[in-house]
Amino acid sequence: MRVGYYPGCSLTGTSREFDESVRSVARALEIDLAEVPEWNCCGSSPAHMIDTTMSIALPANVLLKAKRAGLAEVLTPCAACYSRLLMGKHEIETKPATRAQVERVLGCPPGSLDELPKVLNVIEFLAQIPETIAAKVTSKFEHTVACYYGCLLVRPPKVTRFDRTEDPVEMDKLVALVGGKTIDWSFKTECCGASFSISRTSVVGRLSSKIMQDATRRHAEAIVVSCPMCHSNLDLRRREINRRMEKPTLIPVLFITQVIGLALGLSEKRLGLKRHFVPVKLPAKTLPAQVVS
Amino acid sequence: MGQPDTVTQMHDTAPDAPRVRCFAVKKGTNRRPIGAYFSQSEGRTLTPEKYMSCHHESPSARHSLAARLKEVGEVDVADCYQCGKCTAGCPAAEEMDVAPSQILRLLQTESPKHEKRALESMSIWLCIGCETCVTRCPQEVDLPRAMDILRQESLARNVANRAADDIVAFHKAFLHSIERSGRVFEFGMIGDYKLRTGHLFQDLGAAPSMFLKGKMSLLPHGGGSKREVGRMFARARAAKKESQP
Amino acid sequence: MARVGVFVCHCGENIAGTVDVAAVAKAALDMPGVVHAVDYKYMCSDPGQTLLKDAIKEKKLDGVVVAACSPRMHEPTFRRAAEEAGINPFLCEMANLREHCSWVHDKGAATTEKAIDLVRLQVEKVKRDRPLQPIRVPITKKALVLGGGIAGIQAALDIANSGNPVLLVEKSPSIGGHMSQLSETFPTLDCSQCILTPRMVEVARHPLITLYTYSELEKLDGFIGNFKATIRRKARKIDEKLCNGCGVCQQKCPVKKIPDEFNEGLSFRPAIYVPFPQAVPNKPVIDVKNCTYYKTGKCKACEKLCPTKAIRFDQEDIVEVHDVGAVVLATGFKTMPVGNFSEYGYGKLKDVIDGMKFERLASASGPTGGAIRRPSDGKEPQHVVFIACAGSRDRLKGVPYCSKVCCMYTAKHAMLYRHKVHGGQATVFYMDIRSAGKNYDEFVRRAIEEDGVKYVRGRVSRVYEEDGQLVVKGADTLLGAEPVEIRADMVVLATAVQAQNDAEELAQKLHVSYDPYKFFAEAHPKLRPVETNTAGVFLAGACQAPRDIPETVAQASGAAVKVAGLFSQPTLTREPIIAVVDRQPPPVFSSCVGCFLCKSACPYQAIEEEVIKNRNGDVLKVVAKVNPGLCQGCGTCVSTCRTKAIDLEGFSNEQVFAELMCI
Repeated sequence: MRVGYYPGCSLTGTSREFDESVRSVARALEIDLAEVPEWNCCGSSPAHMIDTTMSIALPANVLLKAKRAGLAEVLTPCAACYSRLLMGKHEIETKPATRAQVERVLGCPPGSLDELPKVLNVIEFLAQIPETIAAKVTSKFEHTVACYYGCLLVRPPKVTRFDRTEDPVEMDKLVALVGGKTIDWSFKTECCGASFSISRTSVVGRLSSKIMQDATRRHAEAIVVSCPMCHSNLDLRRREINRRMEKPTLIPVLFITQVIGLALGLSEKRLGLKRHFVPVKLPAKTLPAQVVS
Repeated sequence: MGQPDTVTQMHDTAPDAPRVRCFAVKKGTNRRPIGAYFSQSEGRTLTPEKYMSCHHESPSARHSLAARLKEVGEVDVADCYQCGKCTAGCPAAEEMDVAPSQILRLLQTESPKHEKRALESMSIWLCIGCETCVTRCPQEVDLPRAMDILRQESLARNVANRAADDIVAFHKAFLHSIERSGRVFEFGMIGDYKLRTGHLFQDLGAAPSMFLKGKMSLLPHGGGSKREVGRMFARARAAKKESQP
Repeated sequence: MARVGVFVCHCGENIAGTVDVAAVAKAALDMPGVVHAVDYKYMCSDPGQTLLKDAIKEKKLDGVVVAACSPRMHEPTFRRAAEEAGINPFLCEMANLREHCSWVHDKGAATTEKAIDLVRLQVEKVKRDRPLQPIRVPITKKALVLGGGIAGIQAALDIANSGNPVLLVEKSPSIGGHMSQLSETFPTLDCSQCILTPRMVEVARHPLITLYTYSELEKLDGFIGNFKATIRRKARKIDEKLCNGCGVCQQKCPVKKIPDEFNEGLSFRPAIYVPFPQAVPNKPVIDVKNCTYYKTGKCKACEKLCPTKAIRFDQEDIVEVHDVGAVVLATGFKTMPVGNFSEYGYGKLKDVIDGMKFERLASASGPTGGAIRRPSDGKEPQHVVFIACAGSRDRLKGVPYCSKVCCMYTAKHAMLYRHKVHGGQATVFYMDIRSAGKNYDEFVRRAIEEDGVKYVRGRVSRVYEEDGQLVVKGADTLLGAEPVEIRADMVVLATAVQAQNDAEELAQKLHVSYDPYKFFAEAHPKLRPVETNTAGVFLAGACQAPRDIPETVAQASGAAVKVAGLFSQPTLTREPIIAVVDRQPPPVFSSCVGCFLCKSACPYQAIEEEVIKNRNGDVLKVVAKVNPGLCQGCGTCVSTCRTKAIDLEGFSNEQVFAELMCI
């Protein structure tokens, strides 16, 4: 099985472990990830905040390259990239004037932006192959975790078409598939502060601490995410968060691919678990033996 | 300058009186809106509380931010009935100087004074773009899209709130990094941001461990077709210049 | 030579504001056959009609064209005037210059030109009109009332009290409807059951009312005065004559855990049950889906213990056909399910309830005996948040309209809660308070001023659970949209009023039109609010639009008067706009060749076969014949006839072609 792959900038830097775990899991599941050649940044939040044209042109360029490389689907682990690619595609498909404008910016002939590849996030992608995953589980992930979806995977619902907007369950199903338990909690889709990580750290602290508070109160052993921004806010900004918590917490934040990787018996190193700021220490008795080093 | 403050004053015929035109929408069949709107001559602000209802043919309304939002963003501020659900769910509302629903209210009046308040607000920069508001808005007003347009308008008119300088700097540094290297080169981007804001020591504690954990490299990424992306930015800028007389 | 008069109406500004009416009248004078043309401000007014009558007499007109509004409203007016002036009413035609011209076009020469064309068409038509006589049909003086809520009860009683028999059909096992579930009623706070149950009993005892509960309408055929209603009486599995309502079967039924519909799922009921103690009739019904006997073939506990041996496991549905002259639709409403609100917990949060559940909690006959207890743990809630407009005025997830009753019942709920839980706090989130009605606004003010209910203007964005409490996130838009976060023990959603799930299906059965939200449509929004566009079918209550009890009762009485008025006539007069089959002298008899394509095409089964015999009784020819009582004048047969033997009175082929040829 071959699928296009767009890692995006975060996965080459601050969230390298997401990239590593996606690639390792894909390898274990015998999926060939074909990286979009010479890809560029999707523009992320700054582009749509201050430059609407580029916020559509940049993702359009990525999808155009993928299309030219013969890829029908592009897997985009980063939720921000996923959102930008999906929104860009949506704008091009629904607004002819925007499409013409983007064609000019890209300097490509009219019609080039027809039938752009399908954009998939990691959850959607893995949910398509439950049998393949289940067949390869070697050590069940026997932990109780909180699946945190954040904003960009699920909103706006008209474009993302994600399952239940205010209470999504697709990621929970994946965790259950590899033997884990998930808690029913109230902050699945509340915002963590996203791109304010650098420019308004205090906002991130306030919002993310509420998320951590609810997850810890309901006894989650870890938080599982699928977005580099959510991850860095909950992991990298833990000191900021703990300052606002009733009781500081050290529960780790895992990417969904790391959870699946652990169940598939992949090593800590190949899943990049060491790269987290909050050490990944799950209650030892339930962790698979080979992973606890 | 003497502003008219009552409706009756608007009919003042004294030669130096402000030239305020008063339109009455044709009253007649039951399929047409019945009402009246008032508009003012160029550059003058009408006492905003005195407007009655706005009409799409109003000469001032044609150039209002509301009209622009409708045209470029397909956001119709008239759809908003001020229920406040957007504000109620907004994760950043607590930090904002003007609540999200109030930003829409400021645009609804189509008065330059109110539009200025929206463009100068801190709120447009504190919007995270989480899309919670539009997901729940009973009238489906695309507020995040409106915020995007307001931010860009605020920068274009050079009236962005100074307290948002660091946020603007972050966005600019980010886009600058993409323009130069096709991708975001985090180390360079953060450096650029620090130079733009003077926040030289922010997050210095995190940096060493970032490098140790392999999360940040000192050299730009390879690939990313930087020349191509640079050309895209140039073309977009040229197109924008062309469209503005 | 024809002598046609043309009367152009200004309709105030409605037509004259866009169309040059004087020019239309002037142009009409040049049309062949027109001998008189005038324009006037309001043709439908008394002076306007006099103008028309005088002209008919003075100018000896034999045809009249009134160029005014839609014939729907005023064609009868002008035809009556024409008749009073001595000409056949069917020699009066209308040109619709308002809906077909002035309302849909801008002012200009082309618009006036179109108006002249519309007049010309009708002049050509009226010249070819022939005098027609109205058709008289008999009336079955018995009414069918569908729905046994307060609307149906009121309509049935009023019709029966006017001396006409009524068949009242209710689909659930008891009459009473939503009103029987309510605790107190606004704005007087009198107990709903106390005012309703006497009416329910009156219905059951009325000699002219036949009550069919647990029954549904399958089909309605026929037309005004002569409907045939097919009704399915679902098997209760009880012999109603033998059952004395002792209730032993209910006590002994081993199945106990079925959510009780009457208590909105807040309590349980057995598989054989009477919906509530005051039910009419007070006879149980077996819930076949949940009964152990129907599932496993064993049990029959009720049958063994019934002292009157009234249980009938083998009872089957009965289908009956009834002749009725009029139908009153009073099928009521439903409320939007709590599960529709993703942001309020998708129905997962037990303590987020809807208004109907709160009614049961507050009702003395409810599962808590009227004590306010929250469903999750039975504790008395110390802070209750009421959310108005849950689904109403919500284009995204709900309905765009206002549900009308929620502002009032929310005020009532908050007030009842404050009366019942001392020291408890009630907060209402609202967008607008719509309390138009006698003593309504005073009631809301009383909730705020005397009972200390806190009103916050703003819509709630989200409700979620934290530490056994509900966190309600709203904003106070009167404080510059300041975010408000309230920790509540219970949240009550004033969910939108919607049409019943089967409203569309029922409307199609009755050929009644409905709006985009499946509420039945009235014939005219202002002047014919209780009629439908199907003659003989009337509306009462919330099946037409969200309504409160006083309005429902008033409308039900209105519908009853319409029915009584209809039944007071000896026969019914119908417009003679019907199809006729050509008849000729022998030996042709008719140009009809007897193919009967028309018979299969007719949607009203109005075509009959007529056998033409000679004096010896030999069959000479079989030709089509139209039953004037059944024909609705749709013209389908006309277009299918191969030999052009059928024509439509008032819309003959000759007339239609003449109209087409003149433009």
